[in-house]
Amino acid sequence: MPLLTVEDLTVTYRHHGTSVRAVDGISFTIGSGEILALVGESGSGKSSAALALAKLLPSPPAEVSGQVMMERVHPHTNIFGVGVNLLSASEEALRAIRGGKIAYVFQDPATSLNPVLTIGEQLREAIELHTGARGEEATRVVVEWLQRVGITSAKERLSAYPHEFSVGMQQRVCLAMAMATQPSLLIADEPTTALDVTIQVQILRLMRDLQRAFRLSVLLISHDLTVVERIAHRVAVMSQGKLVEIGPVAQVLGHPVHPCTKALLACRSAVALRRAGRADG
Amino acid sequence: MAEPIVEAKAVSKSFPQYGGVLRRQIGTIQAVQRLSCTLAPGEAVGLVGESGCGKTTLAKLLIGLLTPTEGEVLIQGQPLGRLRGASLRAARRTVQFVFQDPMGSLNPRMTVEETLSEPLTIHRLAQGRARRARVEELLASVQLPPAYRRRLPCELSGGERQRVGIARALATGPQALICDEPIASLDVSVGAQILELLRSFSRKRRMALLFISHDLRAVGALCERIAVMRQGRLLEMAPTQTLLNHPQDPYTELLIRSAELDLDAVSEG
Amino acid sequence: MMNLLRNRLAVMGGVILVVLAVVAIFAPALSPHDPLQINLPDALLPPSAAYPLGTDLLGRDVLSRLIYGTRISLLIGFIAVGIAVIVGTAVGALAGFYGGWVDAVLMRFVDTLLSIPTIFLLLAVIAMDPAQRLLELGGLPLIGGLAKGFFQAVDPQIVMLMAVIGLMSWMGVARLVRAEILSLKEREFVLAARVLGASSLRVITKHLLPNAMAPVLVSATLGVGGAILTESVLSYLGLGVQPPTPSWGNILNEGRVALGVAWWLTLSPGLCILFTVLAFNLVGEGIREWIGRRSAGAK
Repeated sequence: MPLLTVEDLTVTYRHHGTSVRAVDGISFTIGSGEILALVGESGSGKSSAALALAKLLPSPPAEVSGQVMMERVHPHTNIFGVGVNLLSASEEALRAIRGGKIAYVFQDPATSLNPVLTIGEQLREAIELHTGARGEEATRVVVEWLQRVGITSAKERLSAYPHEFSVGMQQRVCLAMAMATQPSLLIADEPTTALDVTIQVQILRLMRDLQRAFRLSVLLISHDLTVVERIAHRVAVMSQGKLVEIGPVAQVLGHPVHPCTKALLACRSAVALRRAGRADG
Repeated sequence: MAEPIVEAKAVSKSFPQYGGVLRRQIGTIQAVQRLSCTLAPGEAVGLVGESGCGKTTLAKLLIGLLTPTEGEVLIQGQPLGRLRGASLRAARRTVQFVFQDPMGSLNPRMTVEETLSEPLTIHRLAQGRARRARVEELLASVQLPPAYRRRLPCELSGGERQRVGIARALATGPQALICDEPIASLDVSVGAQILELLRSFSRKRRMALLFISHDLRAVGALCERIAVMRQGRLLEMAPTQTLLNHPQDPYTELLIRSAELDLDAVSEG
Repeated sequence: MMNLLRNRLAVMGGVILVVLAVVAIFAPALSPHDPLQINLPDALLPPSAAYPLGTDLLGRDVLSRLIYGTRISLLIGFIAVGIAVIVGTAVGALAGFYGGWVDAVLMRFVDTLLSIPTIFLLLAVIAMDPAQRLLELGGLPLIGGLAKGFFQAVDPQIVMLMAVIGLMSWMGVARLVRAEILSLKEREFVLAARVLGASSLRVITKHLLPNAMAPVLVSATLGVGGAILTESVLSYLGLGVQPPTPSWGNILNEGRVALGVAWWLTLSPGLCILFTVLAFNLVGEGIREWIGRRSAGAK
């Protein structure tokens, strides 16, 4: 039974009389514990779709329609509860879900973190808002998560500010903030694009390990098909607001049907690292 | 062997570091340390490194936007630091530059035509009707329609802006082109097209190319020789296939595996 | 353009400015009486059909004087600001572009001038009567001759006022321009121009200044209002435009003594100054918003 069922999601931006359909009636599902990659050129609507899922797009100018059914999963027993349509839920219900059941990680960690709060404060805030933990308990959870994402001497670094960390470390903190509330779904919008290539690998491996350990569902947005190949289970290709192809990674990337998919693959092989015996094609 | 077009001889660049209450100089940051490299006519060389390794500083040193604290940069055998007037202008015609940010590298108030005419005006290469013809020629060489001459940068897509940037760099008919992360801000498919464009220039016009990037994949696809930079030093330089298949330095090996997104082979830390 | 018109207050300001311009240009046609015509029997008359805004202490028609005063006030405003912008831009551009000791010297000079209260500086300069000093240099062959010739064409007093007010306000422009140039200097398109081989002059004039002028434009618009106010203040202190030439400031000044009996002598010029300065401010704000929207909305 899928965790998230998106049906006919449409996002229209209206500005001074003109309207642009960024997302044009797309439908897909994300299963529990599955990584779905959403790929496409910039302007294809992938980021708009991702933000629209939890109604994170500012309402004028964006108009969102469709259905986004999310099953309630009990954190400990993994039993599915009654589904809720996120697009018609109240703002109050949504606030509990955003950051709690659905967590986001964005491309630029510097803008995701509040520069005037220490990372300890920010993580604690997230935890206290979405879980029952308070005070000492919350701090313990914070330290635990920082350690899990690979930040050494986590306890001492609680009082550090975001700018004192490298970009790679900042992204780890963002991951910790996303994971600490034990979400069912993690939406990652180009999480490694702004990172150096060696750090990229570390973050991707971290995401993969976390996903395996916590049976997390992930919606991964990327323009990099190699990333998709390494991590994702299924991939959906978007072009100009429409979903043109969707299926298991091996199938879509191995035997592409739609011209857009083929074009993306062609670019990838044009820039492939041709090593003897390790050709990345 | 032909004389290199651009040569860096034991070039170092350090920046002062200020701190404390009185903002005094408390130390220096060594961005580039005693680095030597050459770019021979017609060859495509790639320079790879992660952010902070000094590759952009090196690019600026090679093009004369920064002066080295030690060592010198030679353009066709002439020390760049000592060129003035006409000889400096000649050097500028010989070696040109493509910037990373397509939007930032174009004057937002100048049309494509004005941007492309500027090098022609500065170097008095063409006037009046000949200039218009040259502008059209440049647009065609980067596969942009002639109607684009009247557009402003904000009316172009990222890839189109970068094509204008490349066309501007080609206007003086340079023998060498230094590109600093030219496709980093672009889409994958647009970036692939720009790479293809650069490759064709390099081959057809026998123009030397120095391609600076953090993306080993792009560099590997375009260049005959690759140099790896780390913390201001040149770590390793070899022909592409040699470097990719038999890397000497463990850091190079790390870069290669990271470029392949080999999640399990890379160790933590 | 549409966005500019969208801001109704700015449009209102613009309308007022257009009206003022028309009044200034067509002053002779619009004035019912000769502004310099003294008519003692009709002194201090309240507004009536013959004298729509009443008369002043010497029986001169206030409305006509106000209309001619528009010319003086606007002229002083624009030329003063013009001088301020030219001097300020030059200084700011040089300081921002060259940096180092050039910047240090120029900016300390600016800081020094800025630290002196404007009014005192103005009073001191005016008290020294520079126009007269220049004329006295008639002894020196070239400068004296030029000065004499120039001042025969234009009332030296007014020219001096414009110059002085302008020279007191260039410092703010200099700082603005310097700040813009500093931030633009490291932008890639400026680096690109240098790499292409452009000379420093070309970089400054073709790349830096055109992109730096936006805040200067706003500042200039607001500055005209400020200059007009300064002239009024100076006139109020008796140091502005000297009678019989009418300016809003000196009409106000003359009205001071008769404030109790002739309210129209104070209210009319006061309202003129108020609306004019307000109009410039509104237009300036409108331009600032328009520029902000344009750069924010650039694709």
